[in-house]
Formats: sequence, C-alpha cells, structure tokens
Amino acid sequence: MRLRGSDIVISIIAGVLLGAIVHLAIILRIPAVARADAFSRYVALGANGEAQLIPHDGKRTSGIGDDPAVARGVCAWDLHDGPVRIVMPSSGLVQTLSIHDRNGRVIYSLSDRAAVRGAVTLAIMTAAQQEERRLTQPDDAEDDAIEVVSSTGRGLAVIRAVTASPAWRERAARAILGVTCTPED
Amino acid sequence: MRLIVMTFITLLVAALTGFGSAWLALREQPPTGAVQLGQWRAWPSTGGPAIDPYARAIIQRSGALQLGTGEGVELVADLDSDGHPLSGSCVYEMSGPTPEARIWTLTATSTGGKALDEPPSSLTSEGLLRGPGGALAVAISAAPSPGAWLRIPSGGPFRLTLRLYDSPTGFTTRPHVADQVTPVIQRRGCS
Repeated sequence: MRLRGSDIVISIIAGVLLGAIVHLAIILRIPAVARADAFSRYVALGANGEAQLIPHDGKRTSGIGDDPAVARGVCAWDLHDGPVRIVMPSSGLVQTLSIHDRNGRVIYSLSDRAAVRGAVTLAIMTAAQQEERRLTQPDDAEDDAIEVVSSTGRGLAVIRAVTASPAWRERAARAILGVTCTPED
Repeated sequence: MRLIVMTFITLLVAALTGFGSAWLALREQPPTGAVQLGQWRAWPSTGGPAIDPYARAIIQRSGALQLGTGEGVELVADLDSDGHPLSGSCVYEMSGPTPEARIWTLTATSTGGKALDEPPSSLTSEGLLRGPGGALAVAISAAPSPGAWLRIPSGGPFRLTLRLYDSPTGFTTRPHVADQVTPVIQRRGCS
C-alpha cells in the first residue's frame, strides 16, 4: 500500500498536536523532577535553627534573584514536628524575608518594614496545624507572629540584606546569621 | 505498513516540536507573563504563589531563588531607548524618574543573566552622586566616567537589571503596573 500526500499531512498535524501536549507536560513536570532546584541545594542549611549564608552564583542562576549587592541567607524548614517560627531582627539595613515552598513558589514575603518590636516574626504551619493552634491558643495570647500557611511540609526561608556599599558586607552577613528558624513549642 | 509509517511520522514530529519548543521556552526568560515598562520588562507573577508555569520551570531548573512580591521587583532591559541592543562598545546614560523604592540596585550582566566579571558590575541607589536638582544620571560605559558610573566590559552585548527593594505594591499588581515610571537608557555614542 502506498503512502498518500494526505496521509503525511494528517501525520504531521497529529504530530504537532501531540507535540503541544509533550510541551505542556515538560513545562509542568520540570519543577517536580528538577534536581538542581534551590530546595535540593539548600535543604541542609539552617538545621541548627540559624540561617546560613549562601554564595552568589552568577554563573548558574541566570541572575534571577541573585543581586551582587545583596547578601542572602537560607534556613530550610520542616513542619513535620509542628510549626516553625522565623525571627528576623532588624539591623538598620534594608532586609527582606521570603518563604518558598517545596515547589518553588513564594508563599509569603515581606520586608523589615513590617517589624514589630524590632523583629519580623513568622510562624509557618500547615492548614491542620493552624486549625489546632486556633483551638488550643487562648484568645488573648500575645503573639507578634504572622501566620503563614504552607501546602507543602517543607521549604526554605530566604533572607536578603542589601549592602549599599562593600563596607557593609560584614554587617549584612551578621544580620543574616542573626535570623533564627526554630520549631514552635 | 501505511499505519506504521504514519505513526512514525507523528511521533517524530511530536518529539521534535514538543522538546524543541520546551527547550526554546525555558532557555532564557519566561515567554509569558511579562509586563513592558518603557525599556524594562518585569514578570509580576513570579514573586507570588500564582507564579507563571514557565517562570517556575526556569527557576526550578536553574536553582534560583526569586524575589518575593513583598521584597521587591526585578526589571530587565536588553535594549536602549532607540530599540538597539545594549552593547559594551557604546556609552549609555540612564536618567529620568528615580524608581520608587527604599533602595535599588543596578547590575550589568551577560544577556543570559550571568555575571560578566569579578567584581560584578553593580551600583546601588545609596550614596549615588546626583546631578543638579537631584536628577538621576548614571553613566554606563567601559571607560570610567565622573559622577555615578556603572562599569561594563568593552565590546559584546549586555543586560541591565534594576532591582527595586521594598517597592510600592503598584509594581506587582496588574492594574497599576503600567502606571509605574522607569528610568530611560539613552545611547550617547559608540566607538
């Protein structure tokens, strides 16, 4: 049996349609299968409850979020044993904090302008933990912590401190190392 | 026989177009979700939970940590005010409205966003020398220039990234993003 021209056209059209599905599948699957993602790279940082500095990586990260004038630190969190409390004391520098979930989404971010009594305090928790907290915590409990609900049990807290001049680098590093991320009791 | 050949063609075309287009889409900047502000482009959804799927794939593949909406915004420019690609053999001036932010930084990188040299070409709004009346005028050139100056390697294309920290929310909320004013990058001459 000979192949007709219309057969080839139909095959190509079907191929392009299938190719579109392949395209979508790749784009949507990459976040789940990527091995060099930030979480995998920095999951070991902050295990002792303190943020750790990460180096600039201008050769790799295509520059997204990697500012040579900004010192960055990371603290990995795990909600398995309960909510995690992130405390970022103000240092006088412009400092920001973002909470990244396991899948590379920023679920919460703010700057030190939101500081209450000299520190920004976040409590990261799952929806179930938030529910439990509502039930057990007294209504008049005094807590400055902002509740951040995560749909993933693990993720990263990223701290940035802008160093307006190289002379401030040490100060920025100190500011980042002063951030704590500890399980709530 | 006919069916086998047709299936083969279909699968071949699917693989080529599927993998090829995915590779193209993830090679550089997210192909969707960009907002144009003068010569600058921003991806407002990147810093929040509703991140564009392309942006997320690019970020997860490269291991980058994007700026959150509440932290600031990243603006990228590859062209000057006349639409020519930025080149290291030219002299530029960035002027005009100062971006609204608590502090901002300006960085020159390769067009792929990678660092050009050590130390990186970067300056911050803090302690910036300003012209008469407080006007913003940053010289961008390979040769040193008096006043505010951003060093770039001579020859070759480059990219400018303007990062606004603690910027007004207007930059990240869709209806207002077009109202934001951004500096202008003008070419002053080429060698």
